[in-house]
Amino acid sequence: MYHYFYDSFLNEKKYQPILAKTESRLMDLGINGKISKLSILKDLDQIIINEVKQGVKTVVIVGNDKTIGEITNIIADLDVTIGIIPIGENNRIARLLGIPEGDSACDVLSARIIQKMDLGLVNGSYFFTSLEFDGESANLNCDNNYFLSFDGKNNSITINNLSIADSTPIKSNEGLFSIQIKHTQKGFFKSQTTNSFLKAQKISISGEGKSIPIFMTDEKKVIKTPAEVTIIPKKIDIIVGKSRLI
Amino acid sequence: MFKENTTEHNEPDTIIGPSVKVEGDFVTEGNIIVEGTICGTIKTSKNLKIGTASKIFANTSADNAIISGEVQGNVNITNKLELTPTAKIFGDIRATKLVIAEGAIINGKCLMSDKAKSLKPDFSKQKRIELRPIVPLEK
Repeated sequence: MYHYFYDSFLNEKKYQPILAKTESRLMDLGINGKISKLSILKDLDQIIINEVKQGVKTVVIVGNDKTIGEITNIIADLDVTIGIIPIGENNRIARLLGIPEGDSACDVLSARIIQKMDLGLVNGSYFFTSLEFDGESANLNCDNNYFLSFDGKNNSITINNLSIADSTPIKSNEGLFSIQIKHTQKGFFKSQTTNSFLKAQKISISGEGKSIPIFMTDEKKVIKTPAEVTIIPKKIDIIVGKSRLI
Repeated sequence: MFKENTTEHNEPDTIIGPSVKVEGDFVTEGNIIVEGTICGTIKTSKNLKIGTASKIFANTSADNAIISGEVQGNVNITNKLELTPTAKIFGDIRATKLVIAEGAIINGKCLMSDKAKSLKPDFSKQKRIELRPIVPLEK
């Protein structure tokens, strides 16, 4: 049993033709189901939990990375499979999972190639892709074994569960986050960039006497330090395409 | 080790850049490249490369290593250790194979494989030689 959650931005007129085409394709494939349209006024948590109680086994997220982030956060602890129909801009997750945009995604849904994926957990919120923050006054305690600190300014830190960096897909490996530190040394004529890569399962982020904003890339949400980041291996079942990059 | 076009899987799993400082026990199962600063312990079951500008205040263990920077601590390498002209080691070295380039500095003991022991002559089975006083020859 499928349930489709449409993001609120899909109410715009320009998305109506692609939605109509998608719904028609779903009908042809025999995988159509109930549709819920999200809005600020609706309590998303309650809607999803009620639907799952009524027997929904596959939750299909129709929207972009932000929609995936919001809904995954709610359904991560439920026994459901996640499907994605990417529509609009900012669909990095779908691209990594090999899911084409619009009605072509219906064929991927129908093929049902299910993959178990890791999820990140930061201060009680799940995240699918990555966390980004500035390293100027940040301290990281990795796996309670070692501390990381950073010299000077222009250190940009990314904690990746699933991401693309310079067109190379990055995926958490064996339940370990991939930590990337990008340092830019600004010179008189040109600037030089160096990258550092580390792996860790549990990371505590703190600021030297001040709070650092941490940007959750999928939900476009900002949280503040101190933050505890852990990885939950094989947390969700997700339908992926044959042309997936990971 | 860390060379391109080899069939072995030598991709670095960890790169510690020049702006990064690590404090504590840094233990991994993969290849490590260090260009920054480490205080504590470094341990890997694979290859370790310590760059020219890096400073290591740690005891270091790895399978193979190429050292170009400064290490203050003991270096314990299971297989091959290579010291480039810019390497500075202030501590004891233990390795099976050792390559030292001209200009590298070592201040410490150097121990190599204990399998290759020098052959000691066995005197236990030899009969005791009776030493007699030298009698001057009669003319």
